[in-house]
Amino acid sequence: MDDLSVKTGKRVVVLGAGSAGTMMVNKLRSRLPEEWQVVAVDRDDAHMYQPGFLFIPVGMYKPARVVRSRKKYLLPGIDYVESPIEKVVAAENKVYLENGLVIEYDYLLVATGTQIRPDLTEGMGSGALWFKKVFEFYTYEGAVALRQALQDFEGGKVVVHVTDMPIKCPVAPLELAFLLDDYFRKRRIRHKVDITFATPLDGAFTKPVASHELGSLLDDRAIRLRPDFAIERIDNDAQELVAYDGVRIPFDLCITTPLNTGQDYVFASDIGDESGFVPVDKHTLQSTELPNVFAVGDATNLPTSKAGAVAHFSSEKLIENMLGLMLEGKEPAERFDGHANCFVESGRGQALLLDFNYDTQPLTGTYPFRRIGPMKLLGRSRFNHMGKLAFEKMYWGLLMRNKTIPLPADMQLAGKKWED
Amino acid sequence: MPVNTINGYNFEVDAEGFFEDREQWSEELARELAALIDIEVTDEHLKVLRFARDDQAQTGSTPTLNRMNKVGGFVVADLFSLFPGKPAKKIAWLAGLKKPTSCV
Amino acid sequence: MATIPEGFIIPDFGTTPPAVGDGTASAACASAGAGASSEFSGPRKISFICSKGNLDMAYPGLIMANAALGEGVQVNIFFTFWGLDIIHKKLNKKLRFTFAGNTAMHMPELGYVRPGLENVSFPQAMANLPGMTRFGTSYMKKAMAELGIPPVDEMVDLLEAAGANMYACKLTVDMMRLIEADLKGIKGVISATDFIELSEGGQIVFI
Repeated sequence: MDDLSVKTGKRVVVLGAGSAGTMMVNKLRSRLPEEWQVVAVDRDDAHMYQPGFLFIPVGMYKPARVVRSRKKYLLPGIDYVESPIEKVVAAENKVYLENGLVIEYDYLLVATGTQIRPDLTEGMGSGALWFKKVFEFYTYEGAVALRQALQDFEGGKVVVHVTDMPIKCPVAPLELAFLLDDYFRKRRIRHKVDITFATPLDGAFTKPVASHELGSLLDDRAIRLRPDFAIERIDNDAQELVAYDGVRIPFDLCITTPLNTGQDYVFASDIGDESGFVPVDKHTLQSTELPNVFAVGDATNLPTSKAGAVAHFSSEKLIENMLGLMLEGKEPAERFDGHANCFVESGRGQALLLDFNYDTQPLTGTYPFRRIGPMKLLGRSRFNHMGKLAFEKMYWGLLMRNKTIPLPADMQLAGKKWED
Repeated sequence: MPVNTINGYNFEVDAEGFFEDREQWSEELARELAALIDIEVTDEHLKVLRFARDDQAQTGSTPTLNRMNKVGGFVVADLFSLFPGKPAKKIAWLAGLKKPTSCV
Repeated sequence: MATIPEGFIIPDFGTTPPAVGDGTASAACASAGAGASSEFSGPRKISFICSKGNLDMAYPGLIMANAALGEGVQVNIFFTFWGLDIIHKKLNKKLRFTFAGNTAMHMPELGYVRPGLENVSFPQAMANLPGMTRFGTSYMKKAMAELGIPPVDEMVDLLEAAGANMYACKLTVDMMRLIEADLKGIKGVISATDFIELSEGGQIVFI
C-alpha cells in the first residue's frame, strides 16, 4: 500500500465503507483515471447488510448471514485504511485518524451513516434494564441480544418504540412490530402478548396515505398504536416509558429506536451540523459550506428517509457531479429528486412497497412499470415480500459490485394513482 | 291540561312536565327552566337545543342522543357533560319538545 | 339552584333530589314520576352481563344499557363467553342471526302474502338450509336500521362515549385466546370476582 501520509498526486478520500461508501468508492475508482488516488476509510472490516437486522430478532436470518468483509467488496486499486476517524479538519483538507495517520485530500466524500445514541435518553442506555428488558435492533449486537430475549419471552407487554425522528429506515420499527405478530403466532403465545407501537409522529408513518394504510394494518394485526408519544425517560424501576406530558407506557419488553445522530468524529470536525449530519444541497449532495466536500447516504441532512435506496439513487447523480467537478471543474448540475423506495415487511409473508421523493408522497399503484408492475405500491403482496428477500442478493451481487440495478434513479409518476 | 308558570311565562305541559306546544318555547324561557335544574345555558347548550328543535321540526319526533351524534355531529360525551344525568330528557325539556320515545 | 315555583310540573331528572318546598309542590312532584318521592341516595346502578354473541342476543343488553345511561343510571357491562364478540373489533361487525332453534321467529311480511302467516313459526327444517343464516342476518339488520338502531359496533362506541363501564371476562379471554388489543371500549379484563365487587349495590341483568 502507498504511504498515505504524503500526498503526491490527486486524491479523493471516502469516509465509511458501508452501503453508500462502498457503492461510491467503487464508482469513483472505476471511472477516475489512474493518477487519481482513491482512499477508503472505515473502523473495521465488517460490512453489515443492515436490512437484515430486521430479520435477526425474529429468527428469519442467522446473525452471521449479515456480516461480510468490507475489503472483499472494494475494487482493486482502492487504498483501504482500517482505523476509526478522529476528526476532519476541512480548513486544512485533512482527515485525522485514531491510528495516528493524517490523510490529506483534494476531495472528501462522507458516507459514515448514523449511529444510535441510547445514552442521550435518560434511563435508556445507562438504565439497569438496557439489554435486559430494553433493546434495540439497529446494531448487530442489539439484534442478536434481542433475538435471545425474544426466545426467552413467554408473554406480557411488548412496546416497539421510536424515540425521535430522524431515524435510519423510518419504517423498520413498524416492520418489526408486524413481524413480532407473526413470530408470537408461530410460537402460539400471541394471545399472551400485548404489542404496542409508540411513536412521536401523529400516525404510523410520516406521509399521510402511507400512514393511513399502515395504521389500519396495525389494527388488523391487533397492535396498539400510541401516536404523539414524545419520550422523556425510561423509568427502570417501574418498567415504564414516560412521556413529557406524563403519559406512561408499561412494558415487559421494550424494543426502542434510540436517537440517531451522525458519528462522533463529525461533532469534532468542522463539516457537520449540531446533529452530526453533513449539511448538503439536497439536489447536488455537495456540502453547503465546502465545495470539495460531498456527503451521501445516512450521513447527510437530506430531508428524506435515511435508507439504502436513497443512497443508491442519489449515488447515480452524485458520481456525475463529483467527476464533473474533479475532472473538468464543472459546477454540480445533476439533480437528485429525493427518490426513495422501500419494501415494508408487513408480516404473513407479504410486504408493501413505498416509492416517493421530496415532492410526492407514497401513492398506490404499480412499480416499476405502469399496470404490469409486477410490484404493487402500498399494497401488500407476496411478490413484494419476495422482492425484499431477493434484494439481499442484488445488494451483494450488484450494488456492492459496482453493477447497476436497472431501475431509474428519478422517481417515475407512471403507474402511480393520484387520489385527492 | 296543566299549565306551568314561571316568571311570567306560561306553557302547557303533559302529566310529566314536558311541553305540549313547541311554539310556547323561547330561548329566554329555556334559560329560566335550565336554572331550575342547575344548568347555566351557554352557546354550546343553545347549539344543541336549536339542533334538537330543527330536527324535531323535520322529523316530527324528538331526536335521540344517537341521532344528535350522527346527524348533528355532537360528541355524546359532551352532551353528557352539558346536560348531566339524563341528557336526552333534559335536552327535550329545555328545547320545548316532547319526551323522547325511541330506545336509542 | 333556583327554586321550583308552586304548582310547577317538572320531569323526573333522576339524580336531582326532589325539591323541598311546601307540601303542595312535593305532592306535585310525587305525582309526576315514580321514584321522585323516594329518598335520594346517589345515582342508581345497573350491571349487565352479556353472554351471547348472536346478533339478536347482542342488542338487548346494549339497548337497555343505553337507555339506562340516558336515564342517568350508572352502568357496568360485563362481557363473558360468546358475549365477548360484541366488543371484538374484528367480529362485532359480523355478528349473525339464525332462525335455527328459534321457534318464536315469525315474519311479518308473510302476513301480506296470506293473512295469518305472520303468526306462523318459521319451520325449523328450513332454518338450516344453506344461506338461511345470511338471509336472517341481513333481514334483522335491515329491520334494526329501519328503526334507527345503529349496528352493534356503533352501539358499543355510543355506550363508551356515554360513559358505560365495560369489562371483559378474564377467564373467557384466556380460554378463547383473545388478544386484548382486539377488544374495544373496555376499561379492563377482569375476573368474575372483580365484577361482583364492582356491581355491589346495583341490579344485575344477565343476558
